[in-house]
Amino acid sequence: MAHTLVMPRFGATMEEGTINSWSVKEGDAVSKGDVLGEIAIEKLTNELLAEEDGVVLKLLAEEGATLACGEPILILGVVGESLVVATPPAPSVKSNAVSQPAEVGMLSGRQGGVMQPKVAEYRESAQITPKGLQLAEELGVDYHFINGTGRLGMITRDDIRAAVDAGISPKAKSGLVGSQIINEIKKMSLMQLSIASAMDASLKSTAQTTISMDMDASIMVNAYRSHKKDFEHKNIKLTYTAILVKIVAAALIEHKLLRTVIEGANLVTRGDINIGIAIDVADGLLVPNIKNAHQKNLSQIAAELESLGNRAKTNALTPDEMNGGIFTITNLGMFGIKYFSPILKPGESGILGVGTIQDVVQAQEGGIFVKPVLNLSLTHDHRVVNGATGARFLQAIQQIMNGCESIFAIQEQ
Amino acid sequence: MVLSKERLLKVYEDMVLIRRFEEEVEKYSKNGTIPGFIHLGIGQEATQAGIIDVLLKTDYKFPDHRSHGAIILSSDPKDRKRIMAELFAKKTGINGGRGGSMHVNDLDVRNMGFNAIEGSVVVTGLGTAFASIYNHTEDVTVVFMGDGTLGEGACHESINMAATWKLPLIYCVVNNQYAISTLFTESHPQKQLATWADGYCVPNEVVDGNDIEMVIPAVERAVARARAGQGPTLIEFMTYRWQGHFSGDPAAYRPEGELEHWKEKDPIKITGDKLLSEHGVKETDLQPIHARVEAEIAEYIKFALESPNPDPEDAVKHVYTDIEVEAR
Amino acid sequence: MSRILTFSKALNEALHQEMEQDEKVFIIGEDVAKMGGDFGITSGIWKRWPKRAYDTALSESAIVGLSCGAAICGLRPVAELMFADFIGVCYDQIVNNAAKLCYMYNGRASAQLVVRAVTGGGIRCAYQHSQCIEPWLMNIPGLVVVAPATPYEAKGLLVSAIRSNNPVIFLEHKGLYNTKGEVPEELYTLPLYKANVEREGTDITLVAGMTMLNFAKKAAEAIAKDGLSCEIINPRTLFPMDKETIINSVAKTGRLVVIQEGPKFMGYGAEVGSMVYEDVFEYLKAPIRRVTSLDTPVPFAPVLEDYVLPQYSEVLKACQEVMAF
Repeated sequence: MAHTLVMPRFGATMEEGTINSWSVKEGDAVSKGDVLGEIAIEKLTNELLAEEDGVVLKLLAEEGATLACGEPILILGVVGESLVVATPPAPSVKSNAVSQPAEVGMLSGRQGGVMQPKVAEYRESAQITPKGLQLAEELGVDYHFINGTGRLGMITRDDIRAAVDAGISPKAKSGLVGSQIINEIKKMSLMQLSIASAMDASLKSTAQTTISMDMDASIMVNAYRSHKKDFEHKNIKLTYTAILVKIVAAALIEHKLLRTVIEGANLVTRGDINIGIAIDVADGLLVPNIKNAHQKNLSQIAAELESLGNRAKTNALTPDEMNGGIFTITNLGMFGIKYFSPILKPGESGILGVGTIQDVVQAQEGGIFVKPVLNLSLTHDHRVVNGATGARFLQAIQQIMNGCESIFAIQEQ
Repeated sequence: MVLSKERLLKVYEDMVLIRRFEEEVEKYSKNGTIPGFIHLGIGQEATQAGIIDVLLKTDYKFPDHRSHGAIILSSDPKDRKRIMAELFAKKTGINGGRGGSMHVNDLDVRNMGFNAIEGSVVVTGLGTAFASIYNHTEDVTVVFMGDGTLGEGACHESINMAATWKLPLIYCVVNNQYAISTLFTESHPQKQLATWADGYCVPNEVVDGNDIEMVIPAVERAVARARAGQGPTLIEFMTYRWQGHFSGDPAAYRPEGELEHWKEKDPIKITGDKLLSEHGVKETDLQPIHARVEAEIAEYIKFALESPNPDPEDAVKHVYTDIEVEAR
Repeated sequence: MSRILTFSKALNEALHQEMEQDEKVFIIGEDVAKMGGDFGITSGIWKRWPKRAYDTALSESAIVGLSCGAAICGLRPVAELMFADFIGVCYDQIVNNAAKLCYMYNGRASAQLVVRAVTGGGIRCAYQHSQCIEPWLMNIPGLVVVAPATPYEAKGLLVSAIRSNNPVIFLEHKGLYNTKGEVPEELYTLPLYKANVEREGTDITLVAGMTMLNFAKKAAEAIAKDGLSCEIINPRTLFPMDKETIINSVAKTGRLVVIQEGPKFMGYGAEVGSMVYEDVFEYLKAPIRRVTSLDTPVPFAPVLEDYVLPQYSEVLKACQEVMAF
């Protein structure tokens, strides 16, 4: 029975060998152990030995040929046999890593098809991963309506995508066209409750009314622009609000009624000129105050304002900072608001609403001038401060503003 | 005449079994069935058969990479086909296919297996010998080493400690002259490696490793000493491997004629001749032995070829005793 | 009842108490028997059990090799490596033998041994007496690497290590030997493979073990004054790593600072960082930071050694950086 010899594996790492030379030719008879040829693997040469007696029926490769291990190279048999090149049984130790077919579909969790959008519940305490938040904002989706399947119950990018696929629509950025508006029921936070009650009390318990005036801000604006860099060099961020705190504090020294309140049957005038600043935070509003602002210089006020602002946002204000204010400044100028009627903080008799600074064309003494104008609105408690008193206060502010250059000198600490 | 006819016939059959096992393994390695390295011990049968013949199942045996013979003979006969299956990388292999030729171990017969770092088992053997003393048993430990192994620092640490503490540890230095391509006289100063043990006050002897009637008495002497609490012995067995270091190594580093010279000292032929000349055994009496061995080997091969491959996920088992490693 | 012991004494007590109740435990190493160990950790053991305490020649490879062989036979060796730096001499036995024994024996036997290795710098003993070696071990499947930070952990973790059937490299930072802490009198264990949340927090996760735990605690106190809250994770078992505890913490805080002694490149922090990036990238608010030794050998002069070892100021700086990102 014809027997096919293959290129042997001499050694674990051999992959192919070269037939250096045949020592036999077709038709030669050989005995077990005879040398049939020489096989070279890199630098080593091995003898190919006959493993049994027989006749060389066919040489399947030429001298000099290189073949992979396992390829047939010679047929040994009996004279006259038919030469079917029998391939030896496939070595059963070929790589048998049967890889599992890849999961069909990339994200097997997705649902195809249109689903009725659910009226999902709004979860105020919903936690979302930073990247999830990024994606939610990109897609214009309110994540509070989405269930989180991530660690610690957080909402992940996958959750956002799954929700969008399932039909939770992006909330419209501007109007109502083409969007789904969902009824929301949300429990009020402590801050919200507190603000609501304070506003209610303020309007019910005082006789507040608002007067307004356009201030000529040219001197203030010039001074701000020319001194801003000096403050920056001292790492102080200078704002108009800080300047106004200083101005208002100065005005309050003389205009006592604006720091006077009714307590029982008495009028109580407070001596600590602690100016409160209304700061917009995520949940509502916080009003910390700068103590004795009339005694502080502009650098100190600006630095304090920055610190209060940062800590208001991280909810790190102290009770002391929150209590003791006697007059409040509230600034909506950055939104383009001109005149508004701010509501008094309970326990105060005056609140100054600051609007925008706009360049306005003014006629003055027969000439046309362009001036920066700052709109100020003063709400005052008419039980203590009447209109004229309020008006005079506003005039004082204008006057101080006109002479405000002096307050910009940086004090050496 | 040192051994009885019965014993000589028994070890003759042992050696024939080893020889045929190795020849078949060589064939299946060359045709690509057996993956990886194979180190054949053809020509060294008397050493392996002789050592195992003396030892008990409860003695600790540390084979080396060229010890298929010792591994086969120390195993339970019904497990021998599983050793072939292990070489063939099959699930039914005695180690589930995870070890292969160099790492067959079987704790049931105290075949401790081989660690491929030369010298490693020489220090691990200290532990099993130590345990015999700690647990008050008479079990001895035998470590197979080569002439090459003796270069490793671990061997020096081992014999130093074994001698100091008189551990029941027997160093079987199978000197087949070559590490891979380096003749032992080119890498060691001693003419006989056994004398290395003198420096550690360890009794030692040199025997003709191809004459089983020299091998067995030497091992018996060493085992008796060890069981009696007299400490370690080193035996140097002079022998020769017919193949290269690994199957495929043409051993061109060996001089012309050397292999032929040693083939004349074929341990099986030597024993066969003794049976014929000294024990009145006839050639025809040996036929059944050869036939029996052929049948056994054929059974091993069939079993190995027909066995399935291991489950790939088995690769992550037994990394730790108590926690799982992630599979894919 | 509050009882204060040093870290060394806690280890010694663990050995004595465990040897009392398991006769298969024995100790072996250089000077561990008669002298009670170079650092005194094994003192008193040889006196009580002369046949269970063995002084050897300077043969680390034989010590660990013997321990492997003895472990296969059912004994529980506790070997001492006088300085972790010496592991090079027995590294083969640890990574090629002990670590793989259970695997090689298909689970039928394992290297149920402990190698106690005295590790870490800060004692002015220079290049080969000061290293932190855990990265050399953590890449070897089959090993367990444990590193207590307090006397309480030292005792509980050593008992667990001895009882474990896996090979445990037990790292004792020499800078902790004289530290004191409460240690219960009874025999107790602490779980392996489980990190400890030392302090809960919401802004930054600090992962720190051994002597670095003190840095973490100090830093957490300092930045609490700025209103920031740190979560501190003490790994206890360095490898295999308690991934869940670390990952859940970072998912919560979004910021990670790993504080580890030893070179930065491919150090402990490298793996923690990779794992965090892989598993909780989307929860991160800032890149991770590692505070480590410099990538140099450890020198002798105090000003040189102190310069190389991790700096406390770097911990504060890292916290500020991750907050400001």
